[in-house]
Amino acid sequence: MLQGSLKEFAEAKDVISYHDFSSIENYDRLKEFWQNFEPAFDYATDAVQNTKGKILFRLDDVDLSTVANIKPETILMEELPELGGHSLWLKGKITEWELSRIVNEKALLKITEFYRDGVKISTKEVLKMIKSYK
Amino acid sequence: MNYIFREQLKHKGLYAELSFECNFNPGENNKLEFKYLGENIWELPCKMGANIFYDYFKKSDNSTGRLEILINTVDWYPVDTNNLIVMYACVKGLLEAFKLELNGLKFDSETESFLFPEIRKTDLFVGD
Repeated sequence: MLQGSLKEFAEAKDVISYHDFSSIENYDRLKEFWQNFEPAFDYATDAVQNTKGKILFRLDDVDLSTVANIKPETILMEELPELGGHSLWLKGKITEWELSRIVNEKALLKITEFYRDGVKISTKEVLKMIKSYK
Repeated sequence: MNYIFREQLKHKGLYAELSFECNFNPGENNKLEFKYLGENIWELPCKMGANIFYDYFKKSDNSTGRLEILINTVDWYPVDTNNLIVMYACVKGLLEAFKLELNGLKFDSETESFLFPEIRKTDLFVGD
């Protein structure tokens, strides 16, 4: 299962996954005001930038063709005509949205390392793969 | 078995996905055996959900026996998942596994409320 694999990946790399966001300072206090996962993701990525940390992105099971077709600035819960009025969230495309957010935001892309099957892939290669679906 | 509860109310997301196994052994002593292998944080709502399901289950036909429920994993997202959502998903998933449908059990998106029928309701099951 994806969840289990993500946990193993995070443990192997000694990083936290989204299941451990509570360990980020002030996260638990602020999450009471949020309506969905998007602000939690934004808060976590801001924390990574503020602490000069790194994002390790696991590409396994990520649908790159979906990523290629997400417009920059698309919000996670936005009802999209191309998805029949459903959001990426409702379609279970949360990881794809996260990747789209990263590749469309230079500051995040700069601090992200990508992995597939546990092997590091260059950012250039990832962008090339996504571009091939456009 | 897998059960996914996923609802979007404008910008609000409600989500839980449970992977579980269940087995009913008729003829044996009435008993619920609950086991949980998921992350600690969702054990309590799953246990509560299993017990609530068992209360309903005992009201169904041919329910004398030992019921085994094993929750393997709970998939969840920050903010989108909470105790109430996990508990509801657990009850719904188990009902679905046993092909039981309760009158009135639902998530009402208008009032943003989870509705559970009282256990002594006379027409508890759809088709009663």
